[in-house]
Amino acid sequence: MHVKMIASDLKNYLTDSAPFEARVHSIFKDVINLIDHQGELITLISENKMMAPMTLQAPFNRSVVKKMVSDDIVMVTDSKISFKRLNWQLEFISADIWQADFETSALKFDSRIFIECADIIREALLINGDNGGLLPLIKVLEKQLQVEPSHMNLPKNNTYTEFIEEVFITLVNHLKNKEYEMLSNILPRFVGFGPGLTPSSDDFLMGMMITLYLESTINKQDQTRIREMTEQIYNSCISKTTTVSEAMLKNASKGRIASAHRNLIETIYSDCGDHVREKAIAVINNGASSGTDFLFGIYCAQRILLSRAFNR
Amino acid sequence: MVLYDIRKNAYYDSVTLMLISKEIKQIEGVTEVLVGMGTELNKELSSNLGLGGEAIDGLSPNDFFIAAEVSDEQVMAEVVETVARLLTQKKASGDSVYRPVTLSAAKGMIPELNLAVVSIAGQYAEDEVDRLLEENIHVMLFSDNVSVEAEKKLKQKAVDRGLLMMGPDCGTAIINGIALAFANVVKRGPIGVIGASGTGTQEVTSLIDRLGSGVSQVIGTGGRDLKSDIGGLMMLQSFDALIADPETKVIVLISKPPAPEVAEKILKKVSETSKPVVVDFIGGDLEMIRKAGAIACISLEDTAYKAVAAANGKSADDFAGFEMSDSEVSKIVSQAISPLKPSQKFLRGLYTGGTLADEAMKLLGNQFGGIYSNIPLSPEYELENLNVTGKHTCLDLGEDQFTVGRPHPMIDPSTRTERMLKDIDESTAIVLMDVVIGYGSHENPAGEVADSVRKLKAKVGAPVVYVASITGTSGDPQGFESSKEQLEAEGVIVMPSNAQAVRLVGKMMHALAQKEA
Repeated sequence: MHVKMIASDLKNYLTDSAPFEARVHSIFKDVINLIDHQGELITLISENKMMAPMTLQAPFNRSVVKKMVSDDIVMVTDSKISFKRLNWQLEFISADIWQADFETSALKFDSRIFIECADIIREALLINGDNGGLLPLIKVLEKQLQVEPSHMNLPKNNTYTEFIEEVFITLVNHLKNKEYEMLSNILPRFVGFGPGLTPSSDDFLMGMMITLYLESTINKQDQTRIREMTEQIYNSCISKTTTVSEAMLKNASKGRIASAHRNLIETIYSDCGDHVREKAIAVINNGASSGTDFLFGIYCAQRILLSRAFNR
Repeated sequence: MVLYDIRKNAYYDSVTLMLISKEIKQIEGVTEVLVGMGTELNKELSSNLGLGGEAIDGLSPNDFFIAAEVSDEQVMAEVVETVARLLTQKKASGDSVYRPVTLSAAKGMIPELNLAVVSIAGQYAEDEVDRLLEENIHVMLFSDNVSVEAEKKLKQKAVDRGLLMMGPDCGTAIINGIALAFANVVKRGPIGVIGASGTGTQEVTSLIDRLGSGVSQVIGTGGRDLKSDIGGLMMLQSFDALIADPETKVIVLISKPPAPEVAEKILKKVSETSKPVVVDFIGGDLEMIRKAGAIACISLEDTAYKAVAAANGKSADDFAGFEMSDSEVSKIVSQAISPLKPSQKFLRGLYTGGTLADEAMKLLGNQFGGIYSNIPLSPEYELENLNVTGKHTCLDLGEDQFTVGRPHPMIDPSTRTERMLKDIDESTAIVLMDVVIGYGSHENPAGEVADSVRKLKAKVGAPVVYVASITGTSGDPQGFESSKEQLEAEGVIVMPSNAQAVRLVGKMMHALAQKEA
């Protein structure tokens, strides 16, 4: 069977590291995660899912996937992946390449557009978001950053947000004041927290990281410090969260995220406009509270950047 | 009352988890519920909510848990049923990992299934294994407490059907590249290993990997296989399998010295094959092995060296030295013992691997006036009441007297931590240890040892020397290099193998005796 598309970072990784033996880590309807000898997570997705870093997309043979179990051995070369026991091979020599890295030359940061965009995202979060994760913390976030109150009702605290509120406030203040070196004290009290296979705090960090990462790249400001900060976040999560979450944070720390998320971020850093709402809702619909928590991370970074911009 | 549903290394999509959480909260009589992955902060939250407990404390970030506080047994039953229903619903739609819970379900899913790992209370194992053999399924029997009679009967049945029955008390195997129970991440390669000793097999296979080669198959036989009662049934059966296996170019046999008539049968088979056979009957008769045309070994490390050499079409001399130069060894020895006080005289061997402890005592011999142990080389050195005062000692902490009501020290290192804090004092000169990593072992045994050493530095007023070796590979979940770094950060001297660690300790003990003289 032929792979339709392969992420550029995975292609590079396989060129450098293959051949090697990997094993099946987890299996879902449209997603199969493999883990290799170096602990790298490689993801196979069906055509129903959108591309992401370290991913390849192929038509799923449902009868084969049904028989697949965790720890099944997989042989990986630079041209194919073979599920030995199941006699299933995926060849990707002629697959299209999906660029995992952002093309930032056409992106821009305009604080006026950014305010408009932040307001739309806020609305999408409050109307369409899931309150089961960290979203109720929007209240304390806005209080800390002195955001103009609106007529919309804010969600009430849940078990998770009650527990993490103080840590969250400290985190926001450190980020607002660019005290990145102080994050190492607070991150162990934040990563890997909340419901889901990718805990809420990790989804939030991903959204926040990628937004700050791109702003520094576009404005060519603080790039080294921001990269150190994103690396620090990834290092803090090692062994403290799930394998899947750890892999996603690793990619985000390098400025790489799934294409559904990227579509939204690219819009935020261009002309914004009404289609931001539709893209934000597409992100919210990803997972249970994962999409909401990721979007809340973006919103948090937006408000931090605006707060800094207006203080300047 | 608080209910837990814990699934180790189980992955369900976030929607499933959220659905479960919502449904359980709606059940009348449920006052609190938490569903999530076992990360540190989620565990802390469960404790804050009054849902904590031992079951939650032991979780890792990749374990899924549900903790619920319910009013009575009936509500508890409803919670269990709801969770099962929701997970089954997702399973049916193919959204989550399906793990069959019965043999027939597993066979329905994978009709070609032909190997089962049995890990149940020993008294129930015989029937279960018999049923599996009846269905022509190979067995790895992890359970112990299986009678000799049952073992003989099951192994005979396996032989008659051309099957493997590894065990009982078989802790290590790697079959077609899949590690079973306690095993290391070892590269695939041309060396087939049959071992009657768990940690001995792990030491040899890990060293084979670190020497750049790999294994085709690693078959465990269980520790009693080479005794007269069993007659080596599984070693002989496994030997035939490896002779027939085209991927196996070299065969390695590891065992404590077999009963003479069993050794004779095995060595007769060895003499009949054209494949090179490397034999380590730990501390056994080397000449008898050589006469059979096999390559005899003087340590587990030597076994790995000779197996890798044979796989490369070469022969190797006995390896009885060090990977580092003599001058480096002398420097380490003199630096280690010079700060010791005259009152520091004794050796403390604290092992989690029985074969490694046995090898340590055999390599050290009686040159320092004998080593007392719970697995002594001769009866006069039997350690009474585990009292270590005033003597050299070497303990196998995996023996029954240490494991009653608690896991093996490779899984739960607290047994060794306790012994370290109890046995190491101002009279201790050198502490010798193994750190066994890999699948099945504790998530960070090196970190546990390093913590104990740190505590002991504060507690013991004298500068004790700590020497260790790590049984494992770079690919192991705990990581060889990271384990080494943690030990070295606390001043532990980490040697490349158990044999080299023991030899280094031997040199230190000699130097200490000279210093005293």
